[in-house]
Parts: sequence; structure tokens; C-alpha cells
Amino acid sequence: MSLMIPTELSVIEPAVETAGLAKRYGRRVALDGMDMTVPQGAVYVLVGPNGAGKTTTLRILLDLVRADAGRAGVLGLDTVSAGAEVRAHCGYLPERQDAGYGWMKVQQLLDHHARFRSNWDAAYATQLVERLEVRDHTKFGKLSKGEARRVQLVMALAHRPPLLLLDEPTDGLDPVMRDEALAILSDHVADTGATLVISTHLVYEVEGLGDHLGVLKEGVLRAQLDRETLRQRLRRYTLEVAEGWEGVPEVNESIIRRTGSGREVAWTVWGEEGEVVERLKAGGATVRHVDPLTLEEAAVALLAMRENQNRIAREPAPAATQAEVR
Amino acid sequence: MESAMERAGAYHAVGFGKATAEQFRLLWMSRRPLFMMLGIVGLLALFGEPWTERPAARLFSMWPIWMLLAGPLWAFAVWHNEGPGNRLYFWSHPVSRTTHSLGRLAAGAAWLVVLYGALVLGGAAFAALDGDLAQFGAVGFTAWVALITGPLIGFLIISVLTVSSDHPIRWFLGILLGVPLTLSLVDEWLGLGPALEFLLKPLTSRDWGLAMTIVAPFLHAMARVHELFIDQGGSSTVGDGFDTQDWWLAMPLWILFWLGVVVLMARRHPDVLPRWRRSG
Repeated sequence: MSLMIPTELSVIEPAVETAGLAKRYGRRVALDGMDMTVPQGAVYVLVGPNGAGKTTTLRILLDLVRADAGRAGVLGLDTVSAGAEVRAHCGYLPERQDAGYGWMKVQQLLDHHARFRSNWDAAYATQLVERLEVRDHTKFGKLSKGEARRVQLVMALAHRPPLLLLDEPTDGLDPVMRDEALAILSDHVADTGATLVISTHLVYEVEGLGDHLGVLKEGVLRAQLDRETLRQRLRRYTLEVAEGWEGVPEVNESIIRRTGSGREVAWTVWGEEGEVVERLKAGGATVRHVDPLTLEEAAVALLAMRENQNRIAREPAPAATQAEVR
Repeated sequence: MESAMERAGAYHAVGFGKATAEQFRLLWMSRRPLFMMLGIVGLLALFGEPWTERPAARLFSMWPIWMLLAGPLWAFAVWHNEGPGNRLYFWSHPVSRTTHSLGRLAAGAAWLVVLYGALVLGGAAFAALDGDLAQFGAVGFTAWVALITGPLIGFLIISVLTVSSDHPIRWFLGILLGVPLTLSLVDEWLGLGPALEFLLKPLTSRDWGLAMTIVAPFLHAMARVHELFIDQGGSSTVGDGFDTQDWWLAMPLWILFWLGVVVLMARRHPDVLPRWRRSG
């Protein structure tokens, strides 16, 4: 058994595709050859620690930042040569809450924003304003972080774009508003069939939405796979073992994370469940139970994976599971 | 349900005209034109020449302020708090970056013309009240045109900095103070006077230089004002040497030149380093 976590998705018509994206800010490397593929209609959760390159990736997709190397395509459009067209097709929720004119009243800002969007749905915008309890007669610059975030959500959604790029969408929202925002996103996907790319380091908040996971660390996409593959291949095995048990050599290199100590240990292992269980039993362990991981747990496990651990990093995920986007 | 891809055809980028119209509206909403007008009228009230009590003449007396300050100040105001590093929202709209920057500049230039129109109309109203309307109109077509093209050239020159730099005021002061100082030192120590004179000819030429293109018609206009309002038809030595024909040739060329420089700077993506600064 060896660790072969996919970093490529084979998709016929991707909504987003990048190849070899690289970006440096001075000496700091933000992206180091990133190949990302987001299938049409997917809810792709891009997870990574602060400074991993998530925000840079989204900005490159909108041509707000220009990559030093590589190329990016959105809905079949090149982000550099057709940046304006790409932005017309996207709803963007920036990481910065001050992205907007602070001196404008919220309603003025929404009007201004609408004039640039050919498909702006005024009725839908009003509905979103009500659902998110936006104070539309207050100056945008006077809003709290969470209130500004809600306004930006309206701005991202109200033209019903086919692609949403959301950078930390729940940042600053209280729990009630966070649930409302996530419900709105869920409705949006159900109504429009839009593709969502959600950048976050709070994966548990988008647990119910995400169907694809990209794990970005230090500018490199360490893993990229759909949820079904994750559920089938990445599992936690709770084992009862003898004191001083040294593990099973055939399984050891597929272990992504080890927790517990003494006689009861829990290993997060990448592999086909039957094969892993068989080898563990053969190695002397008693398998108490096997659990699939939540998106959050999978993200944490994959982020904790050592840099050189995923040795075969170019294996496309099985085609059958790619088709099942949702 | 219509699919996302089917609907994708309905999403369009915004062109120059629509972007400019929205930027014109945005500047109005920001109240910057109003503050600019109040500033000019305030300066007029404070520093207007005391050589006449007649409001129309008093209005004319503030043209130096208008000529020298309006264009540059307005160029800074148009991008207030929106240096290239702070244009995330501006550039997130579905408009090409160059088109959008030029749209904001065109909207700014249009507001400058509107402000000028308001000043002229205000002047005409005062002149009519004073019974000076005939003199007001007799200032001359070239002078009237020059009184807006001068500020427009100033607006374009400063826009080169505001479009491309997060610190346009530092650059402006640096150039304003640094260039003359450097040139005088070079002249003093290296004795390169004739070479410098040649190099600076585009700025200093009496016929077509930038300085004269901006200032000469102003001097001419002031001479006309003195003739019409103060000397009551008497001759004035102010503005001697102003050649209207040369000016009509030099003025559009200078506007085109600075427009070209502004377009070049607006096309520059801040993330794309010049070849010599790229590593590897």
C-alpha cells in the first residue's frame, strides 16, 4: 500500500482550471505551481492555513492579481485576456470587509454595483437584503465587520452568477447570520446550479455544502478530490493493540494521522477499507470500528500530512466518482 | 431550470461609455465636485484681487487660482483614497482595468469642464448684473478655450501619477522640488547649461513649450481683462508675444501627448514587473 492522494481531477468541462500557477510577493512564495480543477456545479472547498495562497488564488481567477507563471481559465475564458468577461460571470466575496466605498450608503453601493451587472435581479437583491437584515440606509463604512460581510454577500449573489468565488464567507458573521448565509448559498446552488469555490480555514462551517476539497499549503495543492472519494478512501480506524505494538509495515506509509496512545489508537489511513482492515488484523491489531471523516477532519488530516508524504501526487481520482458532482 | 452554462451567455463586460457614465455619477455622489466648487469660490472670496469692486472682474481675478490649481487638485480628488493598491473593489467590476481607469479619468475631465462651465456662467451672471456682459464676452474665444485646456493638461499630467502610484503627492513634490534642484546642481557643477537648455526645450519653448501652452493664454486672458475692465479699452503690455496660431497647434498636441502617457500608465498592471525586475 502506498499513499496516493489525488491532486488532480479529471473533468471534461471544468468551471475553473489552473495550470502551474505561481506567484511571489517579494521573497515570499504565495503559489508554487498550483493545478486546480473545479467541476461545473461543484461546491469546492479550498482549505488551507493563513498565508497558504487561497486569497491569491481567487484574486488570480478574477485577474485582480496577475500570476508570475502558469495560466488560469474560468468557464472557458482565459483570466488574463478576458478578465472583464470572467468578472461578469462571477460573484466575488472578497476577504477584505472594506472592499466597497465607505462613504456610500448601503443602498447607493448596491445601486452602483448593480449598474455593472447585466443580470442584476433587483427583486432577489431586495429579498437578500431582508433575509440578511442589511441596514441599507447606513453608510457602508459605518457597518460592523459582520454587517459589511452581509452587504458583500448581496453584492456577490444578486446577479445570480454561474460561478461564486467566496473568500472566508462566514468571517465576522454571528452564528445566526452564518446559518442564514449558508442557507442562502445552499438555495442559490439549488436554484441556479452555480459552481461555488469557497476559500476557508473553518471547514466545519461549510460541512453541509462542500462536495469537493482542495487542500492548499505553502502554495502547493497537497490534495484535490471529491467528497465521495474522500468518504470511501480516507477513514479513521480505531484499533486495540498490544503494548509496544509497532504497526504494520504495509499500512504504515498510508497513515496520514495517528492519535491516541497505549492500547487504543486511532489512525487516519488512506486506502481501500477492506484491504486496510485485513492488513491491520493480519498485523495483530483488533479493529474496533472504522469511521468516515467529516470534511473538517479530512482537511485537518490532509493538512497535517508531511510535505513529502504524498509521494505520487499526480494520480487522477477515479472517473466514476468525478461524474457524481453532487 | 435554466442551467448555469445556458445563463452564462447573458453576462457581459461593461464598456467604456457605461463605465464612464457610472464614474461620473459616482463622483457626483461623492460630492467632490461640490467641494471643489466651494473651494474655488472660497479662495475667490478670500484672495480675489481687491482692484475692483465689480464682481465680474473679481471673478476674473481668480483665474490664476483656477489655472494653476484646479487641474492638479482635481486629479488628486478624483482618485482620493483609491491608489492602485487600494482599488480592489474598483477593479472587481466587469470592466477591463484600462477601460475602467480611463473611464474614471474621462469622468473627472468631464466634471472639470462642468465646473468651468459653472464658473463661466456665474461670471456671466455677475457681469450681466454689473452691465459688463459685453466686455465679458469680448475676452475672446481663444482665451475662453485656454482657460479650460490649461487645467485639463494639468489634470492629465497629475493623473499620470494618480493612476499609477499609491503615493502621487510624494511623487509630485519629489519631481517639483527634486528636478529643478538636480538640474541646477548639474548646471553648476558640470557646466551642462547648453545641453540642459536643449533637453528642456519642450518645456520652455516660447512657441510650443508646455509651460507656455498652459500659461501664455492665461496671461493673454488677463491682459484682455485688464483692457476691458480696468483700462477700459486702454492698451496693456501683459501677454505680449502670445501667438494664437502656435498655441492652437501646440495645445492639442500636448493634450494628446499627456493622454498617451496616461493611457500607457493605465494599461500597466501593477503585478507585471518590467522585464529587468523579473527574477530568473
